[in-house]
Amino acid sequence: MSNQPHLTALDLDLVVLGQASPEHVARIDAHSDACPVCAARRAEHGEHVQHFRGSVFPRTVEGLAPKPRPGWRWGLGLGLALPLAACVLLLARSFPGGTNHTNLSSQPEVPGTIGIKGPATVGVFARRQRPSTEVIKVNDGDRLSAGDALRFVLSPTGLPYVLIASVDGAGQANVYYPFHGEASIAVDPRGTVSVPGSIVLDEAPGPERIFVIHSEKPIPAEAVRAALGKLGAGGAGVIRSVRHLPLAGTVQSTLLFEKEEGR
Amino acid sequence: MHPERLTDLYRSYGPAIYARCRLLLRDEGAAEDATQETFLRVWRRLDRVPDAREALYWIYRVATNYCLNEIRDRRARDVPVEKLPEVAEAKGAAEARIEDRDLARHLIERVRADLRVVAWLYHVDGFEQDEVASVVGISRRTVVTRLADFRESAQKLMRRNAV
Repeated sequence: MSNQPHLTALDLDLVVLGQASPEHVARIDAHSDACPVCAARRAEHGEHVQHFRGSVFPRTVEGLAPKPRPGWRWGLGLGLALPLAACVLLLARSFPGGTNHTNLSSQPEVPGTIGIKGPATVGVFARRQRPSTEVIKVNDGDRLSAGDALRFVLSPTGLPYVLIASVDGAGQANVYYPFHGEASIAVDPRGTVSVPGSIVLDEAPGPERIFVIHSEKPIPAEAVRAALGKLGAGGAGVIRSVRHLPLAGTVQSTLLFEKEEGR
Repeated sequence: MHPERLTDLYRSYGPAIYARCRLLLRDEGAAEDATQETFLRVWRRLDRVPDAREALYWIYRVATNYCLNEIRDRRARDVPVEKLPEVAEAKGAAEARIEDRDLARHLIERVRADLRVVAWLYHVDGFEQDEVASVVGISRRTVVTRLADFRESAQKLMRRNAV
């Protein structure tokens, strides 16, 4: 053991990022020249960086986007997606209160209210890694972890457009479905919608509220982001308590979960 | 976030994430998977942090946690348990760093979960205690306590190995 200061990972990474000052780089160079341990670490670090840039990045960048990804992530194809949808329908029939839902009829404060054939309900399922790999139904207020992957199954509302978005404890608004979409996406208004792919939760801790927004006409994603931004600006308490966005002509369901750090 | 921005972030921070995962996991394929997992967990924050140092702190925290969990799972799957290398000079002050990274790795893999990241950042990465505190998001006092606990656990492990 020794107390001699060596180069840290931060030293090496700041150089790689081009964020080290010339003086800092000079100190790193001088230390590397004098310290075989750090010289070896720096060389190893450099090899890994080069390998990433030359091999890993080109092969993986295309598939990286955290969009709802096809079933490979869960091993979910139609084989599991369809039974999931069936489960949701059964749950909805057997336990009307068991599905997270918000019924527009109970939200008269929203202007431009429209009539729908049924309550907007969303079944949210999480594939968790801890404490063991399992798929659970997410209920309002549940605690989830970074790395958990969420899937959505939407009940028919008679409305032909839907958009799924969320706001997290940091006030960050995200549109998940359609991913990077500019507006709501058309869906079968009479059928159960199993949203393709899954959303992988990031590390930002705190509450995250998801809104599923059904509508007769496409809703601009920017309007949803703006509404979510205002909600997020109110802080965690507001995110936990507000269950409806002021978006005219929409039917919404919502779900809150608390994100924990780690997995 | 626009996909091109995501790609830019991956291009910028991916090397640092990958290098860290390789160092921790010692396996090319596992490091590749871990890099993508880590990036998917941190990309939103990377887009918001004001400077690279803060971004790297966040990466270190997330990637180290992820990889140490992977190592723990790998160990749980492995039947044979590797023996610790013998290091006569392992006993020392709590602040003394473990020079042998292989020894540090062996020890860190076998201690309590809450000690692992702190021990890795201090003994393997060479961060100072206040830097470890910043990365993990705990007080320096807690870092000191955990390093002392780690030292105690490590010494027990080495004594057991020496018997």
